[in-house]
Amino acid sequence: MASKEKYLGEFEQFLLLSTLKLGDNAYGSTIRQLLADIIQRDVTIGALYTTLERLEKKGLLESKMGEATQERGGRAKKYFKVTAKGQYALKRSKQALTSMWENITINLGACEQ
Amino acid sequence: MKNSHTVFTHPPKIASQFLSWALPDSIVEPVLGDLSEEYLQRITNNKLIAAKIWYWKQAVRSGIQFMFKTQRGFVMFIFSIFLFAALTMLLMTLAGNIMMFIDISSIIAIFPPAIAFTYAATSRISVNQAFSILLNNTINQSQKVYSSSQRVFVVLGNSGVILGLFTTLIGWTAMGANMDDLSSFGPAFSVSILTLMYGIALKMICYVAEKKIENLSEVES
Repeated sequence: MASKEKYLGEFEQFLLLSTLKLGDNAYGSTIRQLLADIIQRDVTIGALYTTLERLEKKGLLESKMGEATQERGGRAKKYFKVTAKGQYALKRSKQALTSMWENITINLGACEQ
Repeated sequence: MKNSHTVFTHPPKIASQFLSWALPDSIVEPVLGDLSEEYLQRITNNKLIAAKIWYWKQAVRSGIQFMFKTQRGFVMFIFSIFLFAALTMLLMTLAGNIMMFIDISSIIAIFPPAIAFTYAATSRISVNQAFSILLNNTINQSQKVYSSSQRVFVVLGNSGVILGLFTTLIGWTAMGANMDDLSSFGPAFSVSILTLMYGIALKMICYVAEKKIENLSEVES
């Protein structure tokens, strides 16, 4: 029987993977910079938090408020952590993509010329 | 000499205020903190202007993204005012010359006295609260505050209409006293009726503002 559960979107996967990579230091600014460094994607802080909040509502992420520092103008950080449900959703999306890529050969010759 | 690495340099204030206004309360603190942190990093690389431009871009794009959700009522209110102004100007242009609808002395006769009457009939605190509720879409207020805020716009609108009628009557009285010169009747009548038009325009805007606050109070209760 077909599963009704949807797979994660591309940006959702990027955010969950960034959060996993950053471990205990995953908050808005570090996630934004990691995305810029690794996949050269310069997202606005608004777009980032919109998706982070959505993932949190889905139960794929959890958050806690951290310390306020001087360089942040005395404002606290909001740390994110991927939940077990989030890790399962990531794994499931990866498996789906891997299955779809099986026996696919792409000829990039035309693009490289 | 000041060390730029240890002194906190504040990001553009207006951009931060816009973000605070547009963002949902739950993420105002982390978002502004994240932006401040990255802004400081960019400044320490001796790129002050680039850092300011970056901050403004982040604030404007993120703010616009959220304001249609968090400040929907206010955005619709401003949109309706702009629509009203645009249609009014279109009608004025179609009628001939837009300048015949603009008369500085009539504007002075209506708006400053109407505002003064409003302050006199209510209070400075009530006026401030009324505009604050209107602009910030604030809903966590007591019914007493909502009532006094509604009263502000009722007084402002009604004062506009009454002043418009009163000054129009003054104009007609003056016209009646000089009826022997009929060539000036048309222009004099046109100017005399302008004050009434301004008063009714003010009443219309105040009516929408009053109803918006009434709606906010109903949402709260």
